[in-house]
Amino acid sequence: MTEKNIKPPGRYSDESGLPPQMSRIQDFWHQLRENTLALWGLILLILFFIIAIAGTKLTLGKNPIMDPEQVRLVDTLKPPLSKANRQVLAPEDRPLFGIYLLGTDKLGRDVLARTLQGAHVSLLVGFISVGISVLIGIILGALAGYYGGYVDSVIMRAVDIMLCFPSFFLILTIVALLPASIWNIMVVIGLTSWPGIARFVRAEFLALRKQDFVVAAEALGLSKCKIMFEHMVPNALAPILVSATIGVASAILTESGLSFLGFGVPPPDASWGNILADGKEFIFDAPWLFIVSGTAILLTVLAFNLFGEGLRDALNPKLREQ
Amino acid sequence: MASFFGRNLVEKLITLFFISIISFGVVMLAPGDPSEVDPMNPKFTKEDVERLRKAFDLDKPLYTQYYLFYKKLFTNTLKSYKDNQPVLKKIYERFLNSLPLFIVGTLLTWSLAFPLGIHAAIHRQSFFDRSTTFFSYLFISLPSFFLAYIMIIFMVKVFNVPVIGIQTFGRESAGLWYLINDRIWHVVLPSVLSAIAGIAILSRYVRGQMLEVIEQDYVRTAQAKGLPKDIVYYKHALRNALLPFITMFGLIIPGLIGGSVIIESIFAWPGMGRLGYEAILARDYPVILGLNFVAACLVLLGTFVSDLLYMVADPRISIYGERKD
Repeated sequence: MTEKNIKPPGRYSDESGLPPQMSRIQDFWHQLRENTLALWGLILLILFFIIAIAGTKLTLGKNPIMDPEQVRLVDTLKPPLSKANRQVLAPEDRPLFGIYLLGTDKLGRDVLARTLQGAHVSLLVGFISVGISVLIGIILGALAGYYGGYVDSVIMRAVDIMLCFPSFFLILTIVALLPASIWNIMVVIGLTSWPGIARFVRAEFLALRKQDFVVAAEALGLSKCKIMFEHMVPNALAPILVSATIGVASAILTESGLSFLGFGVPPPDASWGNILADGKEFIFDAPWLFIVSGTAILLTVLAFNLFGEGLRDALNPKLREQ
Repeated sequence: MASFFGRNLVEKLITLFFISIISFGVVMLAPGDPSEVDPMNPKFTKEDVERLRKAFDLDKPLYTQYYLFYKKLFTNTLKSYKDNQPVLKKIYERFLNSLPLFIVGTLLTWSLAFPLGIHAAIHRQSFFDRSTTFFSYLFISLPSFFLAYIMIIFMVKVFNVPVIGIQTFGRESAGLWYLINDRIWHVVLPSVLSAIAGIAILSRYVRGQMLEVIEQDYVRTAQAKGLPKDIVYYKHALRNALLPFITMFGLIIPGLIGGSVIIESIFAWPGMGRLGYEAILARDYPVILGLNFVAACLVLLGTFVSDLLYMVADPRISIYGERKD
């Protein structure tokens, strides 16, 4: 009766020297399935992606099926499920099936169409800004962790300096001073949120640096760039993935906060943040504006957060031994 | 000890120098000019613009501007573009207003997050643990202003109390009891709202930290020798689990400015965050940069305090940054 017989089956429980019974992906899935909250997060995320893709198909283009920018001044602030005004509106101006499923806003625009369009705008903001910060974070973190010495101290000082700025205030300042555009918001959020990722990558690299495969690659005479970005980065992906997932959530929240203060995605593009910010003026007369977009943001951010934490648990071999 | 302070101080000053350069560069190089805030005003002639640019040193090269700006900031002669008031005085007044929100919010955060996190860790996988986990994710994921509006409606409809602003306008001559009551009602909602996300995040950290400590050998030993559970958890385990949070205590100081912009805007609370927002709207560069500088000083002060606290609390850490064991 040795101790390893008691341990749960899993990739890392095997100390017999045999190869693991499960592949990495199988093992990861096995771990994730146990975590109910993370699983719900994943389901919500998949649902959200489907909605966002359907949203781009339905609301973009020249003659979209549902036009998020169609202003109907006869039908302003209609509650959900109310019918369109058939006497005044031309057939091509009416919403899909002649019903406003989620009501209309102060200009008579269909909230459903705007929410669908907002899904892909919010997604774009989240992913592009996180993409930028991950890229910067990986490069700087890799350089700092691989080279060490004064390269490391210069980069880490830069990280310290970035962390000294109150991040939301800094983002707000830059976004407000620059001309309003959705790209500026993404770039600014991306450029201000890399220090966390750089730190994680550096820590991973410090540990990987002394491992045999890196030493072997060096002995083979591979270029340093190749060693860092082809051999080491894939091994440091776990914490990057986790913080990227949670980063998307916080980018969506930041965008909604900026919209609330009047510096978010500029009109006529709809984002969930600016639907919510517009809705605050009509919170008593048209609460659906506020509730629909607020719930959409809440569920999406929740899904990213839950899935991110699930990833962290599933990818961390230290945690599962407990 | 003296060398520790000296080296730390030099390091922090260098960091502060770079921060001042970066924030100055970001604000000054952005397109647009403070003199263009009101271009449609017919009384605003070209000569006025020139005069203003000269008065605010905007006609000089950037490095001279930088030098003059921080020289004025340190000699407390820096004036706001908007109302010609000294910047440091403005910031200090707003700081005093932000302080009650910050204190009540911090007290709420720390006094609630710890019991919640510890209880959840001890009763791992229980109903309590699962529900606090769920609610912390929920509160982390809510846009703060969404929750704020829902709470405002709730408070006004159910309790019928005033919530916007720092006190009820026009009732300054009312009795002392009324004034105290009024102040308290105004403080409750904004401080609860600014504490909620903090409670959610901090209680997760506490739970994780506590779980890690509970797994350790000395806790098992304490249990094995038959000590009561309460003593094992609250005396043996908790002491070590609390260690990392001592450092966090220094890091909450910068929260005074950062997180308060949205909450203070919603509640029309005349604090530092709102001052920053107003300054951004008016392109009042001295106030923006002054606030940024104060915020950076607060962060550096916070890290310094947390280093010190950690040194006092954990004898394994020496002042030279290496472990003694």
